[in-house]
Amino acid sequence: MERVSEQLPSAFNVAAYYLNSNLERGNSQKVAFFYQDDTYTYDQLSRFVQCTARSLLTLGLERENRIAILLPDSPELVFAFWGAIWLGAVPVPINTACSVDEIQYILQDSRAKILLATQEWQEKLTPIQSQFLEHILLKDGDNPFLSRLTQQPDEPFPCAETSRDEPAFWLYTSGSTGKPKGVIHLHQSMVVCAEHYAKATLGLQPDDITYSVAKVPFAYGLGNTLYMPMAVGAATVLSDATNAFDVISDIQRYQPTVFFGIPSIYANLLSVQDIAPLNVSSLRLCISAAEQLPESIWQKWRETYNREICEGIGTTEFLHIFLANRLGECKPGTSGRPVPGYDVRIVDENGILCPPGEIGDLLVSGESLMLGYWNRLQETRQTLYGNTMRTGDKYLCDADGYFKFKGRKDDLFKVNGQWVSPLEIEDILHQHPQILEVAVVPESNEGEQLTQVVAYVSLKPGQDSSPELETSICKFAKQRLPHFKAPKTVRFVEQLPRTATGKIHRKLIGKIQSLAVRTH
Amino acid sequence: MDTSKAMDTLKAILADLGIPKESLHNDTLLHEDLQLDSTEIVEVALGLKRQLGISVKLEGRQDITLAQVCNRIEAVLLANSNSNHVT
Repeated sequence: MERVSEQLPSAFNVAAYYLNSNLERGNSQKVAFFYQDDTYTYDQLSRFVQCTARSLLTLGLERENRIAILLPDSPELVFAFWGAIWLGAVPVPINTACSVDEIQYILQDSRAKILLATQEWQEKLTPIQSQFLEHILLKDGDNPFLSRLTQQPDEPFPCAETSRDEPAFWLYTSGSTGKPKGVIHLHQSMVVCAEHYAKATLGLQPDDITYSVAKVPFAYGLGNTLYMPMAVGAATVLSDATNAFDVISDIQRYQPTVFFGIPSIYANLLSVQDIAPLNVSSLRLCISAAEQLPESIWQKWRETYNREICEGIGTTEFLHIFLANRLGECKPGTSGRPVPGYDVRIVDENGILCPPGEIGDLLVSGESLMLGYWNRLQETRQTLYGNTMRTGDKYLCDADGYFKFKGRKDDLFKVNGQWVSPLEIEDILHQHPQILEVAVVPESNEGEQLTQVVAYVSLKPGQDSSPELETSICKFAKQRLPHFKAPKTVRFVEQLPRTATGKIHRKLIGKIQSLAVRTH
Repeated sequence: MDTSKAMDTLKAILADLGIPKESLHNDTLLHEDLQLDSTEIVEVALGLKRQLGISVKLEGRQDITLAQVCNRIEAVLLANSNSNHVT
C-alpha cells in the first residue's frame, strides 16, 4: 500500500488542506458543526479560522509558537485550533478535567505564548506561574474571543507554507511519573488517521453526523469531532455533555449517525434506560475506545438497542485507533484487527513474534506515529524505534487474527477512559493516619467488568481493620482526588508482597489476596 | 412525600457514595461542591429510582443544589400522583 504521507505535497498545511478541499468540493453551505442552537457551515468555519489566524498574528504569535487552549468543546476551540495551524503555530488543547497543578505544569512545559480559556479558569489559575505566557484570551467576559474575531477584516488570509512533516499540534497525555507528557504530532498525522480509520475502516460518509463523548483535547475526541468529519465533509456536534442524561438528550436533539463512546458511558446509558430511554434510531455506528469494553456491556447493548459496538484501541502517540472491530465482524471482548496502514504484532521478551494465543508485548508501526515527547528524550527513546512504538500493553492474538488486551507492562491503568497512575493515589492514602503501607491496583474480573480502583492496605501497629475503616479510607481519598481515582474497595492485608529489591510487587498483589486478607 | 423526607433520602444516597454527611446542605451543588462524576450522577438517579420508584433525570450542564433535586423529586411524585388519579 502506498504511504498516505507520500501522496501529500511536501509543502503542506493541514488546516488549509481540509478547509479548502471542503470549499472546492462544494460544501460551503454544508453544516460543519452544531453547537447548542447554532450551526456553522464550512464557509463560516473557513472565514473564522482565517480571522483567528490574523488575530493571533497581531498578538505576536509566530510560526512554531504554542497557544494553549483550555476550553470545553466549543466554536472558539475549533477556530483557535485550526487558526493556529493555519498560521503555522502549534495549538495545545488542554483537557478541562485536568487539575490546576497539571495545567500550570502544561503551561510551563509547553512554553505557550497565549492561553485561550474561560474567566472561571483564569481565576482558578491566577497567579499563572509560566514566565512564557504573554496573553490570556477569554471565551467570555468583556472582550470575548469571538468579538475579537468579528473585528478582524473578513478577507482571505494566506496560510503558512508549512511542511507535511513539521509539528502541527501537541496533545498532553499522562506520564507514569504523574507529570503529563507533550506528544508532538505533524501536519500529515491527521490525514493518515482519517484515511485509514475514518474512510477505510468506518466508511464515514458526507451525510454522517458524528457525536463524541471524548472531548477534543483527547486524541480519540480530536479525531471524532475535528478532523475525521472534515476529511469527508460530514458534520459533527460540539457537545458540553457531562453525563449520560446529557448524552441522551443530545442524541435526541441532533440525531447523530455515528456515536463515539467510551465503556463507562455505554454502561451508564444502559443503567439509566428505565429512567431516560435512549433513542438510537439515527445511529448507524457505535464505536468504543479509550479502555477495554467488557463483553457483558457489548452483549447488553446489542440486546437492548440491536446495535453492535465496534470496539477499537489506539494511543495518543498514534493519534487515533489502530486496532478495530468492523460492523458485522465484531468479536466482543477484543480490540479487533489491525486498521489498514498499521503493522501490529505481539512479541516475546526477545522480540520474537508470538504464536496465536500467546501473550506478549504489543508493538505497532504506522505513519501517524508521533515525532516524540516534548523535552523527554529518554522516554521517547524508550517508546519509539523507527516507525514502531512499544505500547506497553500486553496482548494476545487469537486464531482469527483478533487482538485481546491482557494488561500493562507498567503500573498505569485506565478508568473512565483516562490514565491513572497508582503512585498518585498511594501518595494520598499514605497520608491517612492509620495506613502503614498501600498499593493501588486495577481490578476488572478478567475484563468482565469495568476497571475498579482497589487499594491493598496494611495498617500501623495496633490498628484493626473494619468495614468502618474501609469507608473512612474511601472517603479520605474522595476528598483529595478526582472521584474516579478514589478506590471503590479497600482490602486489608498483613503485609504487601515485595520484589527482591524491596519494591512493592504489584503484579502479585491480586494473587496473594486470598492468602493474606484479614477477615473483618 | 414532604421536602424533608426527599432530602433525607437524597442525603442517604450521597452518603452511600462516600460523601461526608457534614458537607450536605440544601444549597450544596452536585458538581461544584460535591464534585460528583458522571458515574456517581447515574448512581444517584438509580438510588432515587430504587428507593422512591421515580425517574429523575439529572442533566449535568446546569449545576443544581440538593434542594433543587428535591424540587424535581416532588414534581415527579406530583405528576405521578395526578396521572394515577386520571380514570
